[in-house]
Formats: sequence, structure tokens, C-alpha cells
Amino acid sequence: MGRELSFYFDTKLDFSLTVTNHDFLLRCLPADRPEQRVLSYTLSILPHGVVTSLGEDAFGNRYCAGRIADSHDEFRFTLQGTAYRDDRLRPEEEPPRCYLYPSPLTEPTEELREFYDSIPHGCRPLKTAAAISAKVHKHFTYTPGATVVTTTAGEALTLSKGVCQDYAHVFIALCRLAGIPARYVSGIPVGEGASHAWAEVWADGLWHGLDPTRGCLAHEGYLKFCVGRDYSDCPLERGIFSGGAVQTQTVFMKVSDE
Amino acid sequence: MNELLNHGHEINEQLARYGVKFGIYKEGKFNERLFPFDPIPRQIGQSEFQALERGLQQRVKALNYFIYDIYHDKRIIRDKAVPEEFVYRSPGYLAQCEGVTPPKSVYSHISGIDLVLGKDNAWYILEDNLRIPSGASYPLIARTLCRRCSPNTFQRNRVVDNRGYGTLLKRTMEYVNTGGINVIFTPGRYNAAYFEHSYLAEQSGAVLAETGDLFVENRCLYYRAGHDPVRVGAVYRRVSDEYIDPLFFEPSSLIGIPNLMDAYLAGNVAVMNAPGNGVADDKGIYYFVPKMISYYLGETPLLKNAPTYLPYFSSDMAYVTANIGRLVIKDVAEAGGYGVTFGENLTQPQREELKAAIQDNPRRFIAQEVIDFQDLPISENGQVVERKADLRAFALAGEDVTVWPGGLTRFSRNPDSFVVNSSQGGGFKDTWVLCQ
Amino acid sequence: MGTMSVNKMSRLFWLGRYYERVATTLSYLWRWYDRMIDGAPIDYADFCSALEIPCAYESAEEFMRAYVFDRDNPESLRAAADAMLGNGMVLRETIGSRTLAYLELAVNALESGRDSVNPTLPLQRAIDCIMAFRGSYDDCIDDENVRNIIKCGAGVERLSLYLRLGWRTEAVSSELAKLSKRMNRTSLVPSPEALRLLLTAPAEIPPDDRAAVLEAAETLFRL
Repeated sequence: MGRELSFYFDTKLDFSLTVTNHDFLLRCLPADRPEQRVLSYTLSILPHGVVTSLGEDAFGNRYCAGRIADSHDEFRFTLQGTAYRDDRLRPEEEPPRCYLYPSPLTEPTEELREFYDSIPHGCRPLKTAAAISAKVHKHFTYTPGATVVTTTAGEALTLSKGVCQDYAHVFIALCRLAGIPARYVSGIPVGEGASHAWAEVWADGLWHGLDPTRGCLAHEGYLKFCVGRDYSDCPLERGIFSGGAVQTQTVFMKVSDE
Repeated sequence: MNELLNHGHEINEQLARYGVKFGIYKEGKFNERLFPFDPIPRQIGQSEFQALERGLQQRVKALNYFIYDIYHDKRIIRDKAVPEEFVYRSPGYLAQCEGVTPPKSVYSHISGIDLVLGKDNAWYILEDNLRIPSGASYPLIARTLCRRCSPNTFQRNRVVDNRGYGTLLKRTMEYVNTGGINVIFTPGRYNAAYFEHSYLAEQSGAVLAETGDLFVENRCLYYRAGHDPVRVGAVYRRVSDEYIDPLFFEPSSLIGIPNLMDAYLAGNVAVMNAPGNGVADDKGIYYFVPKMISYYLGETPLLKNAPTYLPYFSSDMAYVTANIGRLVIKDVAEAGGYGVTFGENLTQPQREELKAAIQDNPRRFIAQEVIDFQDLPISENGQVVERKADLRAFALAGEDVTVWPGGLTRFSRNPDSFVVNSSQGGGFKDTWVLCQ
Repeated sequence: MGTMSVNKMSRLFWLGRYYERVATTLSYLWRWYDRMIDGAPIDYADFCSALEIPCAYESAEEFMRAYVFDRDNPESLRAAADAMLGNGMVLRETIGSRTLAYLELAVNALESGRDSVNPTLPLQRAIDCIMAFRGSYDDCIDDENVRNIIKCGAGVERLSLYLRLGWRTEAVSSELAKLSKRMNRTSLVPSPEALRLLLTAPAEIPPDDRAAVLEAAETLFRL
């Protein structure tokens, strides 16, 4: 069943000192694909008058690149709009082969291999992926602050603690060990709070979303922003600026059925 | 040629005058050293050079087709001529470049191909360097200085004049330039090859830029020139892929250009050499280059690879473990002369340890026969001694591939060493291509 | 005015300041070598305080060695020469290898004087090389902006040293006149207050006013 979703995503960065020459790259534009049609959206950026441009990267993600040369102490981007999600419209496709191989944050470690061996596999890919997702979900304790954005799947597994990104990385690393193409997805599911990450695995010509953090399928209530081999390919926001300022980030998101 | 021997001191004085140095980090401190120069040139006859030239042109063309193919149709993988895991597990492969076509489809604008001359008088390719090969500037300036110190030598010996490297480089940049100035982008004064960056900028008429001099706006790259930024059409960057853009790649990089990849993806700037081309100069991929030549060009390779074994293939693994004592083992992840182990120098337990490492991770290693290569004479404390040497030939790709008549001949100063890298104390000499 | 980044302007300006610092200071110290032959005292403590640098030297000999030659002493002339060469090196494609070579030679001359029993000959070579550098850049660089930014740096340095040391003060007004003419041929943007003060300075500057003029010279270009 298709669902029409309305979304609102607001990120505000406050700098402790004024900064200049601020270059940024935003990947928080919803993907526009057959199973997720963006019906309308607006992206507004503060300060006003910032020069931005839209592009598409090699993973098929849309991004917004821009630059604020003048001094400022606040940066805010707000995205809102509506999208139509319908997984029945997923096109059959071949996965890029890079999704079968380890990426910077999903390199298999001895421990990951052992963990993998403890999971029943060898059956159909989707069933194996579901078993992996269930196992990761059970093994991990959701603990904000235990890991950072550069934590690898191997490190996260050792800790058995982390956030959605870590669940997704471990899940992806294990799927790839099983020979199942897997990719990282950033986005927001129906609800309120912060952004979320899950994964998609490829089986029988289609990508299927799984959410190991919640231990469920990533259904049509999941709005997708961007995909990559792991987090490092597709962070939602990156910036670099001159000035020794400390930044404080406030994020608010909301997705609801129209 | 040995008459240059009498001018060794003068030539070295001239090299010091022009600051021909390379930087080296030792115990965390940056030092600059003069690059030791040996006055006895390596000589290559005209017909021998022509053969080398054809072989290198062929190789560089095939490598360029390969890189294009890898980031587009992947025919060579589908046809199983190259196992896909050698591509996707190569540190030089950049998924971020999938489907991206650089201006004029040139991926390796400046290639530095390392060769040695065997005792059988055949040239063997040791390594393809396609990312940011350095070294052309040293023999380039040395030639000018040698001619100054010993004009007679060059009157008597007819040597092909190769001082036009700067013009050649300029032409290579112009060919792919998308509209705007040419820039050489250096990580800065404390880079090992800073001399080269600044000298090549001077010789090619490009603007030398560092971080902060360049920025991207509206999908175009600009040089910050006072109030009116100037558009950049080609950037010969001397910064490796992972550091060129902190927003698309390594975020901690302080030597990159934010959003450079955005301008590149939009086709608004030529990045030389093209990001992701390191997939073709991987030590594991090296094994497949002769295959690529027949695959893409339908030709027989003109230059030989050193006999190489991939432990990845079980037959090769058996050979490698049985003959480890006489092979060179290279770790594919390392560069600059590091990660190279000669089996003969290892004790029995060390050999066992290496074998275990190879069996554990076969994809990480290649093994090669030790080529019995010709030593070159060098002068040391007034005597002429024989030392191991290689040749880095430079091939510049534009409409055609041009091989620079000359190259960087490096030698080991240690009589027992095969390693010629400047970072490991080696020196260099001029390479003469004779008119006849 | 060609293609030039702010970074590059700053380097050209400081290249001018540093080469002039080495050359002018060496000619100032020149007399001291002669005085020391007869054991006459030299006012190195006053010199240090005029330049606002720490005076940790225990004797005249120690001063002449460590201040002139010690590359690890950040206040030394040798350190200034290294900074001169360092700025030159990052401007190779702008000033040319041929011109840059004179800076390399000047530093090599200083290096060779360090352990010499008679340092004045190497020092003379260093000054010769800097003079050759001046001639070479003036002659070989076509871009007027480039040439004049270097000269503005040198002019500011000279003013600074003359005013600090109270030396050649009679030349201050002609240096000021040259500087004000030259800056108009560059893309440098002077500070208006500093410029006003410099342009209205009397031909003979009373000793009490030197500090204010010095301050204006030092802050004329913020690079």
C-alpha cells in the first residue's frame, strides 16, 4: 500500500564565534525514485542569500553544495515537503557490485566473522538478512554517546553498544560476508525526533529495507534521504569553515502521514 | 660521457644554488635534503627509446581504457579477465567516481612508469604510478645545469633536448582545460616534492596554489585573486584522492578544496590526474596489465611485466610458498619502497611467518621473481662503482600519449640494496636519449 | 594586475621585509666587527631593546655569533634569512628560479659563515647575493604589481629599522616618498590612518615622534 508522507527536517548550527568561508554539503534532500516520489519540497537556508547548487553523486544521491563567505554565527537549513512512498513501484535492478565488498567503516574483523558464523545462514538471501537483523538487534544495547561517527562495524560489535548507525554498519558488514549486497540508508521514519539510519539488502532484483535498530522491516513509512556503502559515503551534513568556533547542533524532524 | 665526471662537484653546486631539494620527515621533524646527483648519465639509444616509447604508449592507453571501463560498463570484469575483488578491494578504487567521466575521458594525464633493464637487455615494467607520480623536475633542471657546466659534453654527444617538459605539461593541461586558468595545487611548502611543484608551475606557466587559494562556488572552481576570483579550468593537484575534498572524502583533511568533487562531477573542471585512477596502479592490478593490453587494444604487449605471481590464484600460491626464499614479496597496500620483502634476506622462521601472512590474506600480496637487472656505474668518492638503478619514464596523455624523452633514473647508494626511492636515501642521474 | 591571491601578496610583501632586514641589519652591524678587533665595546643590549627582542646574550662575541648565525634562535638574522628564502620558495613561479637562486646563495653564505674564524667575508657574500637578488627581481619580473609589492615590503622594513635604531634618520623622508609612490602601483590597500600620519610626517622627525611614525609604518599594510 502506498503512503503519502509529509516531512519537516530542521537543523540549526550555532557557532560560539563568528566563522567565515564556510563551505557545506547537504545530503538531506529526499531521494526521488520510483518507490519514493517527491511531490513537492522546499529547502531554505539561513543566512539568506547563500549561493547553493544542486548535484547528484555517484550513489545517485541528490545533494546541495554551497558556500557562505561572509562572517556568520548561525547556519540553519530547513526542508519540508511531501512524498509518495510505494514499494510496489520498486524497479528491478542490478546492484552496483561495490555493495558486496567491505567499505571503510564495514571492514570485517575476526570478531565479526565469528559473530557471523553464529547466525544461521545459507538459506535464501532475504531470510538470511532477516536473521542477521534480528541477531544484531538482540545483541546490541541502544546507547547514545557510546560511539562516534567514525566508529567502525568491528569496534561497535566489540562494544555491543551504539546507535542506529552502528547497528546498520554491523548489519551491512555481516550481509556482505554472506554475499548479499547491502547498503546504508539515511533518512527519517514516521515520527518525531532525530534522523535515522537503516540498511537495504538486494535480493531477487529488488532492494529491501531492514531496520536492525528497531528489529523490523523498513516499510513505506521510512522516508529515504541518501544511500552509500556506509555512513562515510553519505553524511547528511558536512561543513568546513575558518574560525576556531565550537558548533552546537540542534536537529528536529517530523514525518507524518498526509 | 665520463667527462661529466670531472664536473660532478660543479653540477652539485649548481643544484644547491637552485634549491633542488626534497623534503623528508624523520622523527616527526621536517628536513630538506639535496637530492644526491650522479653525473654519469644513463644512455638510451634512439631505436631503443622508440621501442620503449611504443610500449609505454600502448600501456598507458590500455590503462586509461581500463579505468574508464571500471567506472562505467565493467566489461573486463564481466568477461572475467580481471576478478572483481581485485577492483573493489583496491584502495585506489573510489566508489564515488562510479559513472563519472572526466573531461575528454582522460584519467591518467601524467603517468610515471617504473622500469628496469634486465641483463637480457629487455626492459621490465616494475610499477605503474598513475596517481601523483613525481620526479620529472629533477632530471629536467639537472639537464639545464649539466649543459651549463660542461657544454663540450653536449657538443660532442648528440642528446635529444628534453627541456620542453614544461611545454608538454602545459599542452596536457590545455587539452582537458574546461575554460579558465591552469593551476598546480600543492599541499604546501612542507611536502616532500615541494620543489617539483613550484618548478613545474614555473616551467608550465601554471599558477601555484595552496589550500585557501581555491574555492568552489556554483559548481565551478575559482582561484582567489583579490576581489575578482578567476575561474580554474584544469587543476594538476599534488594531493592524493582521499585528501582532495574534505566534504566528499576524508573530513579531517586540511589540505583539500571543499566541494572540488562537486565542480568535477558537474564537468566544470579537469582534475589531473583524475580521482579514482589509483585503481589501475594497484600492485595487484599490475598483474593484469598485459591482459588489458590484449583485451582493449587487441595487441600483444610490447613491454614485459616482471614475472609476477598472485597468491590469490591457488596455483600461484603453491609456487610462492614453495619458492619464497628467492622471490620478492610486495604488500599491495604500501608505496614508496615500503612493504617490499626479499625472501632471501629472511630467516627460516621469518619465511614461515610471511607464508602464514600470505595464506591468511592472499589478496594483500604479490610475489615477483628477482629480476637480474643491469647495474649502472655511479661515481662514489672518486671511484666508479656499480649500483642498482631503475628508470621512471613519464607519459603524458592528451589527444595522444607522449613519452618524455628522458626520465628519472634513480639508483641505490647502498651496494646491497635494490630500493632506489629518494625517501630511502637513493640518488638520481640524468637520462640521455641519444639522437641516434 | 595579473592573477594574484591575497596569500601571494602577503608573501611578496614579507619577502621584501625579510631580505631588507637581513641586508640593512648586516650593514648596520658591519662597523661592529671592526670595533671588536680593538676590543672596543658594542651596544648590543641597546640594539636588542631597540628591536624589541630578548637580550639573552652574555657577551659581544656571543651576540655576534648567536644573533647573526644561530638558525635555532628565532630572533636571529639567520632565522630572518630562512624566512626570506621560505617566502621566496613559495613564489618560485612568480619570481623565477633564476632570481630565487640568489636567495638560496645568500642563505648558503650565511651558513658557511657560522663556523668561520672570519665571518665578515661570508657575510659580505651574503650581502652581495641579496644585492644581486634585488637587481634580478627588478630586472626580470615584468609584472609591476609583483615588483612593487616586494619593494613596498622592503621600504617598510627600512623605515622600521631606521626609526627603531635612530640610524640614517635623514633618509626617512625620502624613503617615505618612495613608498607612497610605489604603493599606488600595487594592489596593496594601505590603512588610511597610518597613511595619513606618514604623509604628514615632517622631513626631520623629532626623536619623540619616532614611535608614532614607526607604529604607522608597521601597520600601513595588514598582511
